[in-house]
Amino acid sequence: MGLARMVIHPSAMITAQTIIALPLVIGLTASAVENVNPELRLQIRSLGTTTSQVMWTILSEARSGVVAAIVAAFGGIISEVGAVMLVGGNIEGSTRVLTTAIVLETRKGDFGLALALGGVLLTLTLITNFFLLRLNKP
Amino acid sequence: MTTLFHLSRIRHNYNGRFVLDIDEMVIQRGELFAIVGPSGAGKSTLLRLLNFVESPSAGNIRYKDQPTPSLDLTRQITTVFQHPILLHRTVRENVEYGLRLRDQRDDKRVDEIIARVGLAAFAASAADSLSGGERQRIALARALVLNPEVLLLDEPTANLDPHNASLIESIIREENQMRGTTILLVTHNIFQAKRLARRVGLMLNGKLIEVGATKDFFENPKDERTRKFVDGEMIY
Repeated sequence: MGLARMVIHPSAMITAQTIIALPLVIGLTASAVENVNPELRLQIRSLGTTTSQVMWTILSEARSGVVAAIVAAFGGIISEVGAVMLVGGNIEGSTRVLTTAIVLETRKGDFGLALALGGVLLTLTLITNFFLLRLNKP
Repeated sequence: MTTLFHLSRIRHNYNGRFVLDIDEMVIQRGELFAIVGPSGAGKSTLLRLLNFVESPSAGNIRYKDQPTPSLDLTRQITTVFQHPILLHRTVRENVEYGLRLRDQRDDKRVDEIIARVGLAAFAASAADSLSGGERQRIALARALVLNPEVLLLDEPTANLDPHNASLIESIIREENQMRGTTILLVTHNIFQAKRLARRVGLMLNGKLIEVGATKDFFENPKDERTRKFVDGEMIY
């Protein structure tokens, strides 16, 4: 029961989602940063920038890769079922999210509601991606 | 004249490969000093050390008598590189970049500098879309807008057409004569060094071979290697 109390909680779901998304964000961001010309770091340092300003500028130059990492991670998280079901338990009003609700309604045979929830999920994803991709513009 | 930089017993290595070995070198405030030498002589490395973006493997560089100058002091020094890497932004954003990071936004000054390098018509254009000569002028503008006390120039006109080269040379001359900016010009073009500098040094294989007043350096070199370099007899 003690373990269940620790696990069946929204914070456990957030932790699980973070663990799932982090490698993707780190990997894609690192790859994007590596593609920035290494000489740029030296040249912007010569303009009297601090270390944090150099890092911020490099991230900004790699923004298409960084935005791709965020979009991919968001897509992975919002469509995730297994981990949130496992650590959240799909409790109504507490740990039930769109994906686990869709699974539940499908199992109950209420395909109409499941499809409607799927539509909401799809719309949310499209709207979020639209705004995230706008960040890609300089 | 006041000494601005004092280098003593500088040694620098990259991955165990020796690239710089200078026993002593002094740069005075307000001078236009040219370092000439073939490619791979260590000239660009010297500029990186003088800009404090790299530290020497051994020895010390004092700027305004400070062995480890603060950010405020190092911000008085800036470099224009031979192959400038610009931000994927507009010309104007590239030029004002350094000022913005210092919280010193000055639109009037940015406009003036962009006009001075002849790029007013391209201020809103993407820097990536411009030619090599125009990109070099953006790099110069991005340095000049900071009002540097010391301007380090690494082959600023290499591979440029005569018009762009002449424009950049006239700006270098103005900066030194009108504003008193200390300029260290690294070039393999001995004619450019002769036209612009008051003092010239030759670097070969990481060593400073000879330094002298421009006239003496070109007309009465003390070192045989300098004579060969100046006469175009040195094969490298």
